[in-house]
Amino acid sequence: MALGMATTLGGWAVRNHSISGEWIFGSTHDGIALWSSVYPQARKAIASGQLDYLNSEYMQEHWAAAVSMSEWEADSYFKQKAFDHIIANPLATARLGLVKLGLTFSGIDPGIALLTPRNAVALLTNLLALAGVTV
Amino acid sequence: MCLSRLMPNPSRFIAIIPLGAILVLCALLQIVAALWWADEFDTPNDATSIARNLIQTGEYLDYAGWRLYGDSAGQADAPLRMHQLPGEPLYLAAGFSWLPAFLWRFLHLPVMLLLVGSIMWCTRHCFGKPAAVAACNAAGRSDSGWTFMAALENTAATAVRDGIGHGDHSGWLGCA
Repeated sequence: MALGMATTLGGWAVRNHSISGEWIFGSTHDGIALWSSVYPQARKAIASGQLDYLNSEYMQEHWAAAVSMSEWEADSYFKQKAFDHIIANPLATARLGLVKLGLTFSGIDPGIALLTPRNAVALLTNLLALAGVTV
Repeated sequence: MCLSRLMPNPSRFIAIIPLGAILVLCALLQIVAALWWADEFDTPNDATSIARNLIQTGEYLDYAGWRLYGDSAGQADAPLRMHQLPGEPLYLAAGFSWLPAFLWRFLHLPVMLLLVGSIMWCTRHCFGKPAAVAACNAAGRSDSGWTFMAALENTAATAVRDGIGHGDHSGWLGCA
């Protein structure tokens, strides 16, 4: 397994190094994905049924800061911003994580009405699971 | 009155279902969804557009710079070259290149079955059969795959506008 991971990620990293000069084993999407998952607007995004949403108005300041950066630098910028936010707001981040975890396992989409077919099925399966636990 | 008295006992129900049957049901749901429930699909991530670019230009490019730079910035128009890990785009590009268009909608089926099967197998060996079914269902609700009820729940919701390639309705079942 380690050999497989090393081969695939290594090949990707070598390719990235050849075009950017940086050893990137992941992707330049990681930083913005982490940022959009924890940033101050993330809770509002959940209410609209999104787990990964960028509020354009809020993002203007950050996009302006990133505009002159390379792809790699912009990724590092958002990664750093995300970690700074997590460290400054550990409890809020933990609460947000728990909400996301709960939504993931419940299957309920908070962006649509509770009695739509999707959420009704989710409620039903959760009810069955609850019944199974209490038996 | 206790809730469990009103409901069938799911533990007993689960105990008599082979996990393979769930996998088959999962595959059937995916096939039915791909055939009849939606006719144009795209991946929620940029794997499809990267695969298209790869086929058309031979380069691994992603034009999703707006996420990093915003809409009005000049950088947003420049292609990104490391914005997504290559597994899914390369898999899709291979499928688009080598398979006839009518099969594209089924490209994610083997990946989804492998994912669900692996999750069920590992969870069953670690925590037992009911946990395996629950894990299978939870996995289907995540961004990483669709399965079981999630196939029913999510298929229509994730249909998007652009079909792939030839201007027909040869969409395919995308999941990231």
